[in-house]
Amino acid sequence: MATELLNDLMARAGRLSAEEKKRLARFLSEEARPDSIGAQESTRPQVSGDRHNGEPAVEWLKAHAVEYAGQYVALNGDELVGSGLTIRDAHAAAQRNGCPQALLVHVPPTEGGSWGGW
Amino acid sequence: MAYQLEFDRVFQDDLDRDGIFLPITLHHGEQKTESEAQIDTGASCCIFRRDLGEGIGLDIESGFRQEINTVTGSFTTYGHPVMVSVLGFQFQSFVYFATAEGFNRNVLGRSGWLDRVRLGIVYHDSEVYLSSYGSS
Repeated sequence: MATELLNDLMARAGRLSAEEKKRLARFLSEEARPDSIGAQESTRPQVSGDRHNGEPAVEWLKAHAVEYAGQYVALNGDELVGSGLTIRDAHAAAQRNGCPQALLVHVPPTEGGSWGGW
Repeated sequence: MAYQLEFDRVFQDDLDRDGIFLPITLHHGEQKTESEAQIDTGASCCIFRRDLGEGIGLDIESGFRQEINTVTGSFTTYGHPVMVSVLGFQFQSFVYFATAEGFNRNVLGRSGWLDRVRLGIVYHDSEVYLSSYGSS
């Protein structure tokens, strides 16, 4: 039964556009991971090689911080998969794009800057 | 009308201390370091001591540079993606490490931590209630 379903899904996926295939691939990749949305009750550290652990997010921020100043962005490696004025909006956009576990980052505003709070 | 919130964790802080501190663990790759950090709703982001970042193998200055303002001036930090664990709740987050060796604060601020938890504080009883945002 599972094999039939898999064959059917693969046949249907063959009719998707290139962009839709990429989106589906991201979704399946996220679905295959054992952990959940970005918050989990666990003490298990992520292992080396996880896309979130590299510095692609840093390089993306260096290149695009001015453009997205004051917003939240959702990053899947060095790929922007969502953005919004709130973390809720950015996360929702990432989910719509098949990346529910994207790294959610607040881009500092260009005016006023960030505050230490003390 | 009464409102009710439910939390998964409660933590009792030490009343004698100047602030509300929680035990934290930072993970990067297979490395981790443990410390404690102060809850600070006035802080824009999470800021940690340099040695904590170096302790998990980060090259601090390779991160995303950000000047942090305070009422008395500013200081330089660099942001990195790390896993932050507090009271058993673990988040992939983007946090900042101070460049100055003498910087001796660890702060759990709004972006990177407060924006992904539900937090309750009963200061009179030194109690901190915590859940991840996604929990019930």
